[in-house]
Amino acid sequence: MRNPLESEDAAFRFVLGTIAYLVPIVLASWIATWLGIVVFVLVSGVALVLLRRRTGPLPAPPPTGRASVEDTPATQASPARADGGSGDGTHEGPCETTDDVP
Amino acid sequence: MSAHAEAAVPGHDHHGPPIANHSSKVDATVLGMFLFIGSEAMLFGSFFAAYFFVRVVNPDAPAVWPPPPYEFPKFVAGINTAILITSSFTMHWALQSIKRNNRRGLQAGLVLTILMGTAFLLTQFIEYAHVGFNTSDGAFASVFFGLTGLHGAHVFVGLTLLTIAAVRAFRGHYSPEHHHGVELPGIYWHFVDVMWVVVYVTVYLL
Repeated sequence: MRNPLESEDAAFRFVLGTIAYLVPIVLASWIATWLGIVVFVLVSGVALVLLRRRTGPLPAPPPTGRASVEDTPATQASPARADGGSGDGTHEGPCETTDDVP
Repeated sequence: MSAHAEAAVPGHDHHGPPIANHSSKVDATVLGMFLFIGSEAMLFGSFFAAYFFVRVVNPDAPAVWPPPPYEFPKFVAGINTAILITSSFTMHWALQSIKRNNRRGLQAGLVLTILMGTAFLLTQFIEYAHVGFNTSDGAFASVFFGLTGLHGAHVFVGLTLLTIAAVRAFRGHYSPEHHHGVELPGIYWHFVDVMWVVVYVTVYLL
């Protein structure tokens, strides 16, 4: 089961799904209390099945590292590093890979 | 190279301090928001537990909800619900706009969302002033004000986050590639919206 709040898109779909889940319960309970309970059980079962079926491959993770400043426009170029590095905050070479870290 | 860096990355040609380890599965800021929302969900759960105790488990629970002669303002709260759901659409529009490099759409979407959230809060304050009962009138009133007030506090926090995002949007921040500062308030806003729909249905309608 994927996190229903994994992204803004998913969270927006979660809002719509919540409304779609609750509307039939409210309508049925207005007709009769027992009908509301029956519809609640049925719709909950359908919702669980739908949530469990959403187990496809996860989307690519968002950019990691320095996320708090990435969306801030640069006001001046960073000075190049004396050792020949790019100076833009990216790390070169084997140290860049952190995918194996649990 | 410092001795610390050498010890951390032996045999590397990497210079400078070692890179901090972090999971590549979930970004730290996203994980922080997930944990925050998880704790918020549990907080709402505790309030709902009190609500269901008062209404269902309590041996002195009223047969009619709310106990006569009191009434919940269902219609006004329904209008408020429509406002909040619409604000989710404008929030979604704002984020879709910046993903398409439409800065005007981002700004308009954020401003509209803030305006609707503010309208929701103001309407709730007016509703409180005219609801006709207070916390001293029974446990039902306490759980009503507790749940709706807790949600109102979350709307206020969401509005604060959205205002920060809007100010940054008007200052030229965010791009189609980097818009974390909008995405996270958006997730939080949708969560607040979901919680209100549940509160409205359980407290006002059922």
